[in-house]
Amino acid sequence: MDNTTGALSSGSDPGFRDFSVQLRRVTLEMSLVQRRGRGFALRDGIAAASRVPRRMTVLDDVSLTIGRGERVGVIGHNGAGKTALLRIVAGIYPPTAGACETRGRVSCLFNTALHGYGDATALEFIVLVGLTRGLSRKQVSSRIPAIARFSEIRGHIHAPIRTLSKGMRTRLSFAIAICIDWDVLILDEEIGTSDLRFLAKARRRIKDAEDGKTLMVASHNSRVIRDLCDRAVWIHKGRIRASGGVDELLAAYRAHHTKRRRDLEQTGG
Amino acid sequence: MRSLGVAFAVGASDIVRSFRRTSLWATPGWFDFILAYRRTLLGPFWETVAMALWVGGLGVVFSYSLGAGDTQYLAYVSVGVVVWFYMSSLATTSANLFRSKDSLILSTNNPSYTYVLRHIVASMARALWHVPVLVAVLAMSAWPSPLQMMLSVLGGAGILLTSLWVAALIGLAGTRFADAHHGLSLAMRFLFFATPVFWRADALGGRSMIAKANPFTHFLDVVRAPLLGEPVADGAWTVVLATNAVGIVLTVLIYGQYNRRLVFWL
Repeated sequence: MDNTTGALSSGSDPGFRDFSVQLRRVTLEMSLVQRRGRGFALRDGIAAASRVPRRMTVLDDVSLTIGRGERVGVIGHNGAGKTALLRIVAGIYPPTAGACETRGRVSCLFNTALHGYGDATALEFIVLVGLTRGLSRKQVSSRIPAIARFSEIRGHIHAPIRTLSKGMRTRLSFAIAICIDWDVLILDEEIGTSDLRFLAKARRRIKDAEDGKTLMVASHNSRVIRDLCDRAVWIHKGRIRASGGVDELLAAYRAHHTKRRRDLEQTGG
Repeated sequence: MRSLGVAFAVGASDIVRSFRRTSLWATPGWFDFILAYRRTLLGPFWETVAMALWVGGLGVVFSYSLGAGDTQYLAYVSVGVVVWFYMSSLATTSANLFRSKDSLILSTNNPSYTYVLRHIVASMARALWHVPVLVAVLAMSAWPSPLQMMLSVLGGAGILLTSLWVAALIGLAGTRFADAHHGLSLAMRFLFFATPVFWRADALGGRSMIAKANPFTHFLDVVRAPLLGEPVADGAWTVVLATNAVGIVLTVLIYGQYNRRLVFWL
């Protein structure tokens, strides 16, 4: 497997028989609605109403197989298509073309938004988010102590969630995501905002998960990718540019960054 | 575009799956309502107070100006206003029902119709707090018999059935077209005066067709007439049932056709 050899490949498809996630030639197009007028005059309103949405290819013919038990980091610039890729795997975005198969229960953390529950207590927040993640009341109740302990918010369990710090909310959202029964865990960016101590704790928890649990994490934070993953995929302009061992891929990504910055400096861009 | 058969099957499947997964909409819907009052002194009883003021204000002002100064008229107004507020607020707030839950929709893979059910639960919870006003006014006028109450509840079920497809349709339209919310708010304000909520359709005399052509008149009538011991107008139930039959089929088709695109409209 390429993750053990560390060799980079421009494709990303080791032939797993026992896979957790498989994308076959997935393309995702979205309409990019651009407002022509900038003001509030009637002609701007008419221009906005008569706009023609521009089709934007977010993911372009992506094929990717992730074996059961793999921990894959997704890297790439802002707007490269990382979140779109994860949302397709989570079943949130339907692909425009191609197919995606995700096997097993999926748990995901795409944001740490309060979902309109700002005035709920942390305890109620756990229940509400747990329910919307498909757990029953009984299942949520049985997980509350573990979630409160892992997120280290036991002293704030009856406080309104809006009063918790951003870090506490991130920990809580992560704890809910990881305490739900999952076979595939999808983490998008937010985990990268955690402090180093919590990151180490999260890493231990993920590594302690039973064999066969699959992780996909998108982050700009190379430490997160290095700590949590054993394979990386580099998305560039909606396509998979490379896939391989974490250290090699991060080094290639960094080199690309440095070259790009140098080119921009030379051209005065 | 999907064929009509496929669209219907997809729409029906999403809706059926949503009904089955009660944990996704029952408790969350209740919290959507109750959390709005979490930091207030009166809590959801603000709804009761507001409704009492509406009914009291309309009842007092129009009972004299329309020459119907009795408790029967107050009962007529109170049932009318309670039912109208449910229908009106459901219609206007539905335009934002998906947009207001965008962070959840874009982070979970739940059937999208669960958000419609959740919105209806919140709207019904709100209407529940209007009921004490209704009970008080009915106790002052003439308390309906169990049979009358049952017939009125049946009318309420007709409105609930309508909510199930109207909220979904408006929700989709409101997510795709940002103007929908504003247009609906305007339309409902106008329709409040154009619907016999606080005036009687027969008071229009030869022009009562204006009221009869308005479907809201019939939805009000199937709930209100039995409670007041009056016969339901001819054709009211036909309008309610026919509207629901057409609306449900149309909604399942539209829902099946467009619910996949919902996530891209947010």
